[in-house]
Amino acid sequence: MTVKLDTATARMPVLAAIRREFGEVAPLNGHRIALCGHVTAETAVQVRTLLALGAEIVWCASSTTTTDEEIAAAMRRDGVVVHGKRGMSDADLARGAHEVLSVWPEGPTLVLDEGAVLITALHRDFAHLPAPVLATEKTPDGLAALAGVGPLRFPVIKSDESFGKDAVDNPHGTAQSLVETIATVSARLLAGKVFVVAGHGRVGSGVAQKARGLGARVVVTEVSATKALLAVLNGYEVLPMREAARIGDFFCTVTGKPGVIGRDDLLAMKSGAVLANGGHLPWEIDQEALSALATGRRELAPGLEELTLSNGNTVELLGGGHIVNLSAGRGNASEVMDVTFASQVLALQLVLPKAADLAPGLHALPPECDEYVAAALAKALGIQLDEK
Amino acid sequence: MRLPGGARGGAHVTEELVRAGRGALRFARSQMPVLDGIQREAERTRPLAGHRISGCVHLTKETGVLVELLVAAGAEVAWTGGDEVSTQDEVAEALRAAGVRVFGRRGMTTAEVEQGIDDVLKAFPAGPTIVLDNGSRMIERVVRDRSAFPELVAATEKTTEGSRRVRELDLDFPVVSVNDIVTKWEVDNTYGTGQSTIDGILRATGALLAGKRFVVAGFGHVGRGVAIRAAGLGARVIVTCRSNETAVRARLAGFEVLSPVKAAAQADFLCTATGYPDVVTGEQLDVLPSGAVLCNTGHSVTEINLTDLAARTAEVEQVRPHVARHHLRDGRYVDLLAGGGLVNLAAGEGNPSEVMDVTFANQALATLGLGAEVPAPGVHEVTAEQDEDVARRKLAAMGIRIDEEAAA
Repeated sequence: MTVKLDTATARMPVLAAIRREFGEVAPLNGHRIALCGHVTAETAVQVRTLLALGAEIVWCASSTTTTDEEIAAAMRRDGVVVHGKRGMSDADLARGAHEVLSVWPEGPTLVLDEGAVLITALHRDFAHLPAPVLATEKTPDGLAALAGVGPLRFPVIKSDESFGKDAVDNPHGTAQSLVETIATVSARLLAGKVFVVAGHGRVGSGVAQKARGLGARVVVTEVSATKALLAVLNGYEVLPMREAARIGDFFCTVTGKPGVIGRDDLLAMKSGAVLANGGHLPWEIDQEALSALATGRRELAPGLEELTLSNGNTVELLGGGHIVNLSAGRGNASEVMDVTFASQVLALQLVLPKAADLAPGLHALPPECDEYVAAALAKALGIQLDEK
Repeated sequence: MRLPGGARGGAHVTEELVRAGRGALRFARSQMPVLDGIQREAERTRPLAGHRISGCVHLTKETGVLVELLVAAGAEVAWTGGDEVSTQDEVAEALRAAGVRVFGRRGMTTAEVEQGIDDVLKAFPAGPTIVLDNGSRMIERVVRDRSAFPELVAATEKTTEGSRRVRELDLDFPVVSVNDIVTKWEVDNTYGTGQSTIDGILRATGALLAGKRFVVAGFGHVGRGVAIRAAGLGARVIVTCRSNETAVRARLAGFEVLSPVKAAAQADFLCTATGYPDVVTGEQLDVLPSGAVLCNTGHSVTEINLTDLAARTAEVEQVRPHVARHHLRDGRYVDLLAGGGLVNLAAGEGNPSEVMDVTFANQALATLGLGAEVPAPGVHEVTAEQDEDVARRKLAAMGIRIDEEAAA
């Protein structure tokens, strides 16, 4: 164990509850799990939980930039196969996925996927392998990618659409982590500033709330009228981006859509505006437009770049326009990842007994997974619902 | 003079009521720009020409504006309030003067309410073509006696409970359920009822909320709205609830979550917002601090168990309008607001007209849509597109502009 792994383990009570409750029965005994995910301490705790439930497991990184070498080494020492290295190439990343699927002659029986990497491969290069019993996909992007795969060969649980994501991860975990990263990396005071949040969905409404809590005047931009109306009723100013661009000190995009901040918006901004993207893909701030407008760039601090624009103004870009809490910050807190990962583990073990009855294709996370997670979390928070 | 549904009084009383009703309708309309805008469109296109509508929705001034819209869209309309106390006589009279067949008045008996529902269904010799319902009682009657309503083509229903019941019926006509949509859940429940509940409590008690311990039972859309607003006024909010999922949501929103008895033991205010009966029973009543204020903003009068309260009460003193001070046998007292009924309707004015604007806009669009196209038999939810449309109209009325969705 490393200190990092130790600390993460202690801060992930829902996975601990699963190990305690199901470790002895080992419901995943005899199963071969292929897992694609960030090589971080939190995923390591998930992997250890799956091992404790009796599974064999091999693991490939889901991103070229996020692998924690110390964690990878610690897991390898424990005999877990981990394909991943910080700064690996895209080709290495793809090779890792292929190796994970080549470990067993019969392939994996269970798949925990991120970004639909493994599930896609199982329908292309590895279509000859027997279909796994069950798979889970935990990102909206992955679910979108699956639409292009064609008819699925096996059941896939949408573990993204869960109580944990909806109630804990998006509005609190990700939102806190975004605001925290923006404040820390820009090293600015939020109080009294105009903080523009593009998007008022689950993450965006959380970002708005937390920025307001730090004293910022929050302005929301939206394309959906229902979401905009909710923002208005929450007391936020709602403006089109072009107008928000003129008054914003900070900009955080959380829409999932490309080009939310475009060329004309960049040119309308005050000099010194801070730009951050909280969405999955680095396309919400139009990078092409930004590069075309930039007459100079320099790094002010790690994760913080100053660009001089053709109109003489500067803007400060966080994390190169990539999802800012992962690229320039510490990411989600362990206790948040706990909830997300626990939903995935539960999806496997609670659905497994009836997996044979599930048709191939996408399936919702069963409600009992959400109930289990909520109960374990309530307990960890010391909440008592009835008299005891 | 005997008017349909039994409004009483001479011609001069009626005239005065009509004048007052028209004023109330004008005022409501000034707060309901979305409905007003839809009416302007419908006046031109008259999509309900030839239709006969029987409606059963609390006859308030806001409902009156909806009724005027239906008339302007070309329909013949008959209406009843569907409950004992909510009918505003002046609104009823103003609508009658405009040719609407209104049944009922404020202060009906339960039997008279039921009679009103029957009357409104029988108001047209050939029966209604469309039914607008609120609680599914008219729809259930139509289904029971289907052959009596040969020309009925469709209905709308706007309550959660009604939608649930309608789903259990064997329907040979479509019912549009105006219920499970953002503009209703969030705007009406969280912001509308959230505010009007606090408003009702403050009007009734005149109390200061800052620094008080305010217990909210339930953290659904209404409970969350009440909790956020009470906290905004400086109260220390404690939430009680039944499910772990709700408890975690409340806790992560920054509220203390306690068991019902532990919460009651320190409550200055206890407000139920659950939709379930017997949320406050003897167990909590026995530990409430003396002077606690007890009220309900849930669905009915049953959330606070009044039998348990009566069993502990030595004497009831009406200390202010809507405030019944229950002197308990053990020497404590608690102030029950609005007899345990809906505090926002009884002690306040219910949801603001601006909120009903959004709720009724959904019902209006759903009904106007029936004039153009009748969907297949069965229950239909209002579409997300209509939800967006209503929100867009509301934003426009508020002068708020948003970004365009990028072309795909």
